[in-house]
Amino acid sequence: MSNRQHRFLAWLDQSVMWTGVPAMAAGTQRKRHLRWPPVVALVVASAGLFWCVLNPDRSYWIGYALIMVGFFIANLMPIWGPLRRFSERADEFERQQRRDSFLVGLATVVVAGFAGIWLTVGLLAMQVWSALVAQQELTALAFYMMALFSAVPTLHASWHTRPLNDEG
Amino acid sequence: MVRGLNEIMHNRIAVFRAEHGLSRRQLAEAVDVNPQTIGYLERGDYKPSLELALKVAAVFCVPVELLFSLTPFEAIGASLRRIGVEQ
Repeated sequence: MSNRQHRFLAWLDQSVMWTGVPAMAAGTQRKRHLRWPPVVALVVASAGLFWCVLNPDRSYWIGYALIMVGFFIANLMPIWGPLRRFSERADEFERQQRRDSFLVGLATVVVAGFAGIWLTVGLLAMQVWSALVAQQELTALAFYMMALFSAVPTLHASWHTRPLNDEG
Repeated sequence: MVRGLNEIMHNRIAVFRAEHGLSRRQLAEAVDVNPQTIGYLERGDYKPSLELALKVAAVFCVPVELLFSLTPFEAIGASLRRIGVEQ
């Protein structure tokens, strides 16, 4: 193998490190404040849910698509956000931050679920929605709640503390 | 007087760290926490547990009350002036 080929292969190895995937696999990636992505995810998903509630007819899919976009963005938050996963080693500050943020996240999910289920039951009882529409709305609500569960803890943790100077 | 739970805890970690020539990372490794946690401690965003406070104090070989206080610490300039006046 020539020296040039060797350097090229070494550069390829380094480029893998730049992606951050090896650090992610080793659980040593830097945790950063993500202040706006969870806001975007929640705004998009909330807009989708409102669309689904207000338009349970043939244009329902637009709202559903918005919820799925929000759900997708929200699912990226635990990967790059400030909170360490439960399987990762965390110090006392990180454990407290994770506990507080998940408590807020779970409370938000409970409120959304409570409100959504009673709204669905109420509209079903008043025969505003059919059983099929209620089923659609509950599916949308389920994905919305999952988006909340992924995005709200990151949102809370990112806004609860200011980023440090050397955090970039 | 009963103090509130949300009371600010003042600290002089940054001063002692600079005096000992320690980086955040070195201090973090010495007390087994993340370097970002040292940053939040220095800025007063986080109140440490008694265990962590004692560990940090042990690194600098000082009593814990020299590092952490519920009342603001006297400014270094004021301390120096006072010492100068007393001498």
